Amino acid sequence: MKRLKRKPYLFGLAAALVVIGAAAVHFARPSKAESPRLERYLPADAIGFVEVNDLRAQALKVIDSEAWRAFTKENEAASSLFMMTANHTGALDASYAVALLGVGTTPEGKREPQFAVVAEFDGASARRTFENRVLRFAQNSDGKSIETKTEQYNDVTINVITPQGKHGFAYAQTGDTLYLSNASEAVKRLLDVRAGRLPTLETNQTFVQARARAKSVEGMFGFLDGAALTKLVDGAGAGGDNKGVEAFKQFFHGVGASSVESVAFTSTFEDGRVAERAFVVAPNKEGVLATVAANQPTQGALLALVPEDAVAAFDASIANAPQTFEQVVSLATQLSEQSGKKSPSDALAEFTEKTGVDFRGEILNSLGTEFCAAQLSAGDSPSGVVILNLKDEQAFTQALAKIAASKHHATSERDYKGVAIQHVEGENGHALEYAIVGGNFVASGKSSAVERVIDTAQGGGSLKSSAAYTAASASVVGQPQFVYYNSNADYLNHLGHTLKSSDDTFKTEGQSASLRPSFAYGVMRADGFYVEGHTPLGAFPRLLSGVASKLGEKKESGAE
Amino acid sequence: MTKEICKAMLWKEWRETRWKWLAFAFAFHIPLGIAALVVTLREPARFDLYVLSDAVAAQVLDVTLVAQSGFLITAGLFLLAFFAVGSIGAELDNRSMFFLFERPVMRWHILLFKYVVGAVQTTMCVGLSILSTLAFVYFIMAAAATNVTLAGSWGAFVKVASNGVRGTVLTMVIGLMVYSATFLFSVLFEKWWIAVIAGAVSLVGMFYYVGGYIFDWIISAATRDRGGAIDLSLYGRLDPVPILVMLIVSTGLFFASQYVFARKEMK
Repeated sequence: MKRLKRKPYLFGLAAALVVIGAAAVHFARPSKAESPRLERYLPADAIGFVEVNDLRAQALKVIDSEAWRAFTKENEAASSLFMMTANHTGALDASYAVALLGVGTTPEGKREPQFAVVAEFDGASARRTFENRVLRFAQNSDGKSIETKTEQYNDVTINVITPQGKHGFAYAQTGDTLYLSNASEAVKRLLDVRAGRLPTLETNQTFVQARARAKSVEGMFGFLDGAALTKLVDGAGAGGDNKGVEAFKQFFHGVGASSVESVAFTSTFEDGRVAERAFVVAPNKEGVLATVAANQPTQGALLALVPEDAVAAFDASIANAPQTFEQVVSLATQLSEQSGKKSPSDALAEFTEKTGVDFRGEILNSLGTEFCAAQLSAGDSPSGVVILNLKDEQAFTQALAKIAASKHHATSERDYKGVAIQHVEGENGHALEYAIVGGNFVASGKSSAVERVIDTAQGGGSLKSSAAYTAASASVVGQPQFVYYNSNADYLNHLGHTLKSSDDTFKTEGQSASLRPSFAYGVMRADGFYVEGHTPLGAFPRLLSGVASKLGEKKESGAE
Repeated sequence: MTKEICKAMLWKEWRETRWKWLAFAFAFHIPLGIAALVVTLREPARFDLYVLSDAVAAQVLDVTLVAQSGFLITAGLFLLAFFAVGSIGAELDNRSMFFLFERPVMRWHILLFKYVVGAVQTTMCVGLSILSTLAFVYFIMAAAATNVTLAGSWGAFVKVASNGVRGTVLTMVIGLMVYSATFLFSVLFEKWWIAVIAGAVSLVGMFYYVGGYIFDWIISAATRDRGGAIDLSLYGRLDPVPILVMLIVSTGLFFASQYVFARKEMK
């Protein structure tokens, strides 16, 4: 012992080891918000929900993304302060799920949807911060008096807040989980799930399959139970004499929405940007959905007419457009007959009478298989152009001429590099220019846009052959029905607009960065429809902006 | 007194005070320690560090300089008094001083060496703590924050550090004056706790009479009417008059210590 006393550094070393060990345990243990599985708190018959897992982790990924780094270079102080504001709202240390649980009856006898927010906090401290800041703000935000009631449900206290003249809400907390809903009955259902008195969504087989299909659920995850939604729609307005509700039911079934088994959505960070994926499971497609699903994939041929420096382009197959149109018209006619309003058939007949153009025969049936819309320049004067593949260009152009004549719009023609460009004067100084380029209809409000498409068709660099598009579309698996491309030349300015509030000084113009392009595509599969998109930040800036602006304001107002 | 004796005296003082001095150096980084603890243990604080950009990092350096200066001229002076108070009194109390009296050195030489070594140690701690704190904060920000770049923030660091060097001169002189006063108390009172009380009372008196002025000069002037920003221009203005006055006071206190020590009855 005496020898030990002479070696104080041994005690120091032991103390340091204890401290390091405690710190290692502290940092190695995952927080509750990091592994939430919030579906276990939702009832098995929930219609759907969207969850955000560990908001702080998502915010950190936003900071690490290439877009935010570029944005920070342009908005140094503002971007840091924005994130700090979000940090100090007390809302980041949690995972959240917003769910639609169904439809309930209010004490006044009215039917209304029951929404719920389930928040799993990192600890009691984070939960209290949220409660203090957010709930008290929600209670006092309009300065009107509120009625607060508490109700004991088993061993949990449910707080019911009813602001004067407004719809109230109820909330309860057990452990580090907070339940909030527009109906106290919904909170009770959630508490029953928690206590094991009701089955959880985790036991719903449709959900289990949808979750298994999702590649990653680290960021956002969304789920919609098609059967539950159909049941909800079919049960709406039962026994009542509500024509609107009945019409909606017909529309719902007619478009084939009732044949959707489930929808799963994920949004997660991959390689410094956001990958969003949605899978619509509908093995037995019906109605309009079945017709759209039978569309041929797009060949992307029209993208060869889009200049390579285009800001954005959308290309889709419209092979089944006539059939889809007929189905929609038929559906709309049924609905209009019930409501006694003018039917689409009447509107089409009126159109033919006024213009002399048979919409079905001359326009719809002259369309080819592909449609493309592109934005050719960024900034204050973006120029858009529409390109339509035509089956019968003569019939289509004659129809356009008839329409222009019927409206008494002056027309003229000019030549550009051997291609005739038609100019149709419009109203309020607007005009339409169009040309037929290689059997495709090219139209724009700006003559330069049509000319640039002609240039591209005559050998100029096209988007389809550009390195940026090739790299962006490399991730496509299967033959897409549509593709969307965005060069993100204007992304930072848009981000500035999204995040801007009265207190922030984000730039909204003049910013440029060489971000990787955004790309999205949708493919039809045997059991449904799959959409995948890669964008710089997805929906996360909007989410953080909501947190920072809404909850940040509360703090300033001294609600805490 | 030979060169060897000088070296031996310096060596003796250094050997006796080196651990105390190290502890003192750590104590002068208490704000940094608290900040490090908060950042280590609190996730929101780590998040704030992580989201810093070059512009905000420059503001953090400004705040660091003012905060460390504020610490030095308040709690730091008490720490300094505690350090200086054991210079003479403790050695007289445990009679280790008498060993020196048997050596071929004059009494005033003993006091001179003790004063010089102690003064160098304390003023170094006081002065360098500003620069070391700034350097450490800058290093952590550059290492941990995603958007703090050396290219973008080096200029701000150099500017703040330059102002810190000027602030260092001022705080070192204040520190020397407080050290000299406490040194005198240490000579006057053999019991260290009496000297501590005397030092503390003197400091409280100093703060009572001129503390507001010092605080206003260092802190308020840097932050008043700036809308949250920090103005370091006062660090750039080194007024020689107060510095000279404080150096003269320090010298006077040292000679007072010599006077008391020479006439002190020691048994």
